[in-house]
Amino acid sequence: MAAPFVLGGIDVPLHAGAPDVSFADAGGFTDYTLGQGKPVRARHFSKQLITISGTGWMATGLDALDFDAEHLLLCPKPKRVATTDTVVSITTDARPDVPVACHALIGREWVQTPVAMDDREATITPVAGASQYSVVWYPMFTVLCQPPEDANAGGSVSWQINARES
Amino acid sequence: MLNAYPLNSAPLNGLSGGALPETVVLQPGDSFVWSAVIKVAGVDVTDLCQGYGVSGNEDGDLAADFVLQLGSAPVDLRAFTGKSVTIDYVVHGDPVIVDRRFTGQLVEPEFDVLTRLLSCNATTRLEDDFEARELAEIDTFVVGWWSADVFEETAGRSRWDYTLERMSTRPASLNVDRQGNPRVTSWYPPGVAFEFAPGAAIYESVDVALAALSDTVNVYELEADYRYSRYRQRNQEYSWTHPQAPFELWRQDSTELPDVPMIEDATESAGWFVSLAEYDRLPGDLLDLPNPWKNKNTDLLLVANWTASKRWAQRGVEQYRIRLEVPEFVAAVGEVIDRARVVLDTESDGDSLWEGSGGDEAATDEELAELPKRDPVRLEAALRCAIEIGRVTILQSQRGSLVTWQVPLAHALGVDFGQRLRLLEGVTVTGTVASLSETASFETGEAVLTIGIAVSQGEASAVSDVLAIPVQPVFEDDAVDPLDGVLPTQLGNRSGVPEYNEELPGFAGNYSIADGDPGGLTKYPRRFAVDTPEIIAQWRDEVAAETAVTYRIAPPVDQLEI
Repeated sequence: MAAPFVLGGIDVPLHAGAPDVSFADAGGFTDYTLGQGKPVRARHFSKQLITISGTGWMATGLDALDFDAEHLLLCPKPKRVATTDTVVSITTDARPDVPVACHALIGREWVQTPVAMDDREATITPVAGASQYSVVWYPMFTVLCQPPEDANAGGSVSWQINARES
Repeated sequence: MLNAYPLNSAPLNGLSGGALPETVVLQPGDSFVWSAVIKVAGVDVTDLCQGYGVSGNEDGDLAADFVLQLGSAPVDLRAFTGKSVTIDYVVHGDPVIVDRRFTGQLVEPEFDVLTRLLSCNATTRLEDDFEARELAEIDTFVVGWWSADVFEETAGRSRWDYTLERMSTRPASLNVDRQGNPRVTSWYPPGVAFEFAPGAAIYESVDVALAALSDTVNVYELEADYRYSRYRQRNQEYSWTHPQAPFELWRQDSTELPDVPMIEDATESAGWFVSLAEYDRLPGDLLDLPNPWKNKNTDLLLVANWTASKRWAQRGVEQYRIRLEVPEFVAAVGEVIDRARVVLDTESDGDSLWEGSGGDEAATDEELAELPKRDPVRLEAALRCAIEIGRVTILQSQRGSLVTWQVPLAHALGVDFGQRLRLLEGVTVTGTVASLSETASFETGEAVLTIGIAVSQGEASAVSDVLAIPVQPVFEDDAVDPLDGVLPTQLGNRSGVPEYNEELPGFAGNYSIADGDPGGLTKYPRRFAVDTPEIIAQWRDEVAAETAVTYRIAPPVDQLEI
């Protein structure tokens, strides 16, 4: 599935390198340890921290963006939720240009099965004999990015975008 | 997704009187997701903030602080002062709990021009609230005791000070609830509102700060002096009878007689006055007698019985020496003494009025009725007030030990001032909530409540005396030999009478008819004289009398075991 890295409407070409994506939690919580060791989490918000990096022949072209503004980030790498149920919620919005897909595990084989989306709720077409379903989608976030670094060295450009879901 | 919910967060209602409140046991809580709603003048400004803090002690205001990021739009900074502020803490569980944490007003916003951050300090403005109240309203609200002799007259003084003065006589605190309403909370509420089970508090957050010995007053010595004018009167009875009374006998051999003005003059010349008199007068015309009697001067006396009085004012001081003590602690650690002195003084302007009253220029009864007299109501009010202050001083200093700990805010939303808590976390401790401080940070998700309880130290077996007003001390007069008021008579103009004795009190005069050569007989002057008893210095100078009492105070017992 072709899912280019798009930030603020700008397609980052593959010539800038294949994007590596990592998803992380942006914090917003504090863990307390109670008197007898029980941990308790007080969470105020839950946001994603998305780091995308790559090394390629040309720069990303994202210098055109105003990095003080929020932008729409279309992730080039998917997330998955696993379920045994046929209705499941995905945890972020899915990018509109790539359909959400679902795989069913039958024995040792994953087979594709249609999935209908209603906002973030996925309804999976059941497959006989499936022991688990895995819904895969390419996330889309509204993010605020750190102004990126482009490093030109050794004939290639290495870059990294640190984005935080807003 | 965290879907935790603080199952053991408390009912939000306060405790009301009646039966002992049921103890809510707080087990170690679960994770939770929270948010807050901060409103300034009814407008939700949560998105402009990074968190908030609310803190307060059992005495006084709750204070909230938060920082507004004002953005680039123009704002009228002056308009912020005085705006209402509410802060709600929201726990996103099932159901969602919205708990009001603060209601107050912005008092001191500070604006940083560079960062456009408005630091907001909001308080509950207790002082302003009470300053605006009528005294009677404060009396009803705070109750307690008050006396102008212990404090000062209220005219022209701060009513907030007055409020605090009344509060100083109560083992209770004046604070503000989360809705912004002032209230008085007891230091010793019945029962235990919340028990923190082992593991409910945050690890290593428990701190025990024991009171310093020199702060734990266990003896309170109160000296109260009541100084006032004692309006005194001494009476002396006199009696004089003519040796030849009654009239019939006297007429057979008549003599000069004293008259009423002579008696009065004799009494008044000694500084006394005639307060009561009974005279046996020489009769007026008795024409029916075989030998008719004619007399115009009926002021002449054969017998006089009268009471002479002397009035003076003496300053008296009733000295009350009241000692309040916790005998168990005195025995254990020795005396830690606090002292106070109350003086009730009165005007002595009325003294001369009293001293000059009686006799001809007697003051009217109305004037005498207005003389300042010993005022037991005033004295009792002052003593009661001062004793209660002493009691509260001891109780307060015996609850100086403070135990603090932290708990995730959502686990203990119901904890409030005026509640007794029990903590089982390495220590077993009970006490009344004395301080509460919460901070909530939107960035880190930190939401923690720091609870401080005051632990009252007492002995379970201790006895507390009834703090009765001590009995009035009795002034004692030195004894003086009584004076015999029976006055003699000496009559001259007869042969064989002794020389005139000037020193002899009573009546001196002459027989009407001499029994020999009138030129050779001794004649006495006609005069009347009285001796008056001495008013000794001890009766005039300031006199003091003392009543000393010792009352035992038994501070309530809280647990504090390590």
